[in-house]
Amino acid sequence: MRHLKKTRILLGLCPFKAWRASLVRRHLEECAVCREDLADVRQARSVTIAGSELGPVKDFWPQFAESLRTKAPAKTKAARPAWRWAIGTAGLAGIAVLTFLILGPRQRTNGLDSGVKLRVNYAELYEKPAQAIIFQTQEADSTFVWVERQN
Amino acid sequence: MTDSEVVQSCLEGRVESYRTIMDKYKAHAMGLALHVLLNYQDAEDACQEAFLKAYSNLRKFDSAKSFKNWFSALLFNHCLDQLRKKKRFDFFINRYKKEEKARTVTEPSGPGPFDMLDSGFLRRLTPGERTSLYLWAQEGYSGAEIASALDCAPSTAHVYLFKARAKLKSWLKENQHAAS
Repeated sequence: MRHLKKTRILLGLCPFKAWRASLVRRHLEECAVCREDLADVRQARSVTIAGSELGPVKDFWPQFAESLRTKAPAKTKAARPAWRWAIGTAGLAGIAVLTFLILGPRQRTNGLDSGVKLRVNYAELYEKPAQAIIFQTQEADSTFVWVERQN
Repeated sequence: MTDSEVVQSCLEGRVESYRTIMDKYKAHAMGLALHVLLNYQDAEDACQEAFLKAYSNLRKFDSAKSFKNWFSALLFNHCLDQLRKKKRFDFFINRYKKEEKARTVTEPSGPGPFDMLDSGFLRRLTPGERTSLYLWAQEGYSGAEIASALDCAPSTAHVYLFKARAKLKSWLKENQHAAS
């Protein structure tokens, strides 16, 4: 019984039902101890009642027929026109687009217009001509300017 | 005549054909409802309503599947609804009962034929567990078939059955200890 309790605790901890069930099945196939702690069919039959043991079951037909007479006949509800769904869906889509346009991420405005290349025509370091290297990161958020002396 | 043919016949307007289905499955339905509701009268009412509900939803029945399982799922869900309603009703009625008990002494009623369902081991199980146990033990259903009849995932049905069997074994052991 202790073994079964451990199994049940472990199963309780497992969050996914499908996984839990496969664990149960696999465990029961392998573990004789746990199998012994589960009731068998004979024992389960002793606490349940078979349909055949119920004796004569009430005839449901007369009341059913009476209900049919008083209620509307079993017809399917009139099919709702599909355009209602279409309009509803289109409306929702429109709202979603508007929300995105209003609240969605805005384009960051760079100090520079896109398409303008950075260029340093002439750089001077300690009053001597120097070479400038411009490095722009992929996000274009940062630009590094490297100036080195020319030998 | 297969179930699908009977259903087709009903859909074509021959209502009397439905009687065949009712007679064929009434014992199964009563067994199932009785194990969910644990009360004979409530089970009868639930079956009556479920047969009517199934009839008005016949068009939704997929003839490629088993009518018995489709109906069982419908009945099981209907019984669960009844249990929920009863629970809510009991909450309000219990207050009144307490006051009433204080004023009058009610005569104890004799044991009914299915009182073992109400007062015995099955009370310890959830509706899903006891119905799984019933279907497995009395109807010979497999885990997948139980899942289909209870309208749940096969994994859920396996867990229901596992828990029910474990609880039953433990209860039987308790009873043995108490007797000895």
